[in-house]
Formats: sequence, structure tokens, C-alpha cells
Amino acid sequence: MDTKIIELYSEEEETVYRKKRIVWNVVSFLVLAAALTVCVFFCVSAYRAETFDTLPYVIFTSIAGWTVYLTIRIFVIADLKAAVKHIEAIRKGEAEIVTGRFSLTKERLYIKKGIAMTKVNVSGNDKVTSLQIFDKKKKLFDADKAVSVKVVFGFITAYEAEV
Amino acid sequence: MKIVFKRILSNLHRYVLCALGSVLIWTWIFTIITDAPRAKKVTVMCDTVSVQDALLAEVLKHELPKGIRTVKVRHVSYMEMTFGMDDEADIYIIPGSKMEASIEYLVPLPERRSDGDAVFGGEVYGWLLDGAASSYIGYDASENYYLCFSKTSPHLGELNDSKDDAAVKIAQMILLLP
Repeated sequence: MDTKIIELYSEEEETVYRKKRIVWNVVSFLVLAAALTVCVFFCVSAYRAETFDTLPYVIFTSIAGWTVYLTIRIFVIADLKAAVKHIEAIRKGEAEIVTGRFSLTKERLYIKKGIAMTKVNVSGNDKVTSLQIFDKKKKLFDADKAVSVKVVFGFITAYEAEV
Repeated sequence: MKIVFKRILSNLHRYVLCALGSVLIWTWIFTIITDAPRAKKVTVMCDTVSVQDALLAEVLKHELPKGIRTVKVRHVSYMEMTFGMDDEADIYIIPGSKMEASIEYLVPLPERRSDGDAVFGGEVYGWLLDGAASSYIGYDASENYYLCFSKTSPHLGELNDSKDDAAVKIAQMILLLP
């Protein structure tokens, strides 16, 4: 039976996440700047007309701008930041090999300010009964074909698959 | 989906804070930018059950006295929120129960308009509104309301030797409103 090693993490990945983080930071600030520009426009018209008529539009634009900004920071930038930290830790950590039969579960875990991960059950191994896999790596991991996995801090970082 | 919901909930305070901050900060900014210097505006302060401030101001702005840029109508709750606003008022609409306590801020009026006017120490301090402008102002049916002038108003003409009598003209408009 032939096998091959499939690495789930690559060196370039960290750089890609860092770049994505910069781009999303810029996007989030652009959203805020756009909202502020619209608000200033309404303020100028309010100043000229000396009325509160445009205040509801300003409040709506401001709330919408902040909501988009926060959502980007909470759901995109925070995830990218956590992913970079995770990859850094994985690369520095000591790897061990776990053998057995693996099956991906539907159980997802999320640690605050951390990454989202999915639980992987291990059978046929006396010491290890479960591992985790970074959610973004789930599609790369073919549990049915895996005969052994490389594990760092409980995360699957590579696997040996039957060909 | 569960994780997304959990994350939204754990950050809910940030969303709420931004919404509240937006409302408060922009309202404050609008108050400043839509304001005019005291010499160019007449402010009506209403200590009434309610007042349609924007609507009443709009009506009173139709015929602005010379030299006046705007008319502001404020409910007394606004005064409680913005310190020092009471010094800006030119015209007060005050319930009878609060008249005596307010006299030190008011200017005596030269004449009575009706028998129901507020008289203290032989001097008239407030003209009885008698339901005037009730389309815009909500009155408490158990109270009489009076229209009075602030002692410090720069728009009272002969009443306190100020340059113009814009506040008196605006007050006359209020008294004639349905």
C-alpha cells in the first residue's frame, strides 16, 4: 500500500494571512471614513438650513458604518489575527505522530480571541481519542484515507494518506 | 451558525455602545451647528406636558423679526440635559404652580392682557395663555399656563432696555396661534 504525506500548513500561509489582515484593516477604516464623509455632508446641509431634519440620516449612517466596521473587526480581522498566531505556534511547536482511524465530527469549538476548530475522533489508538483541526484546514483533510497524522498542540498539521 | 450567534452576543455591548454613542454625539453636534448666537435668535422654553418643538419653531420662523436668524423652541427636559440653557431663554411658558419660584428670572410686564394674568406684588409677570398654540403645545388641563419673559433676554425692547423687541413680537405670535 502506497502512502503520501500531505502537509496542511505552508510557510507562505502566514504571509498571506498577514496581508489579508492589512487589506481588511484598510477596508474597515475606509468604511468608517465613507460613513463619516456622508455624515459631514448631512451636517453641512443642516448647518446651512439650521434644522435638525438630516439628523436621523446622520444617526442611521453612523450606526450602519460602525456596525460594518465592528463586524469586519470581530468576524474577519480577529479571525485572521488568531490564524496568524495559531500558525506561528504550530510552526514553533513540537510534532508527534498519531496513528489510528480518524473521523471528522460536526462538533465545532471556538475559544474567545482564538480560532474556530472541529473535533476529530481517533479510534484504534490507546493514548489519543480525539484531536482538533483548524476549521480552514478541514477541506484539506481526508479522514477516511488518513493512516497517521502529525499533531502539534493537539492540532492536525499533516497526515499520511493511502494512495 | 451557533458560533456566529455566540460571537455576536459576546460583542453585543460594542454594537449597543456604538449605537448609543452615535445618537448622543451626533445630536450634540447638531445642537451646536444649528445654533445661532443669542443676539440673532429667540428661544422659547416650554415647561409644559409636551411641545412639538420643530413644528412650532417652523411656524414662528415664518415672520422673523428684523435681525433675527432663527427661533428655537425647547421643552424643559432639554434644559435639564444641557446645563446653562435656561440662561439662553427669552420666553418662558410656565405652569401657574411654578410661577412664584420663577419670578427672580422674569421681567415685569407693563400691562395686563386679561384678568387671569399672573400678578405678584402688584406687578404682572406672566400673560395667561388660555389654550393659545394648543395645536403645538400639550397643556396639563389642571394648570393655568403663563407666557413670561426672561430678565436677561436681549430681545425685549423697552421692557429691559434692550436693542430689539423680537421676543415680544414672537410672544404675540404665540398668543395668536390656534
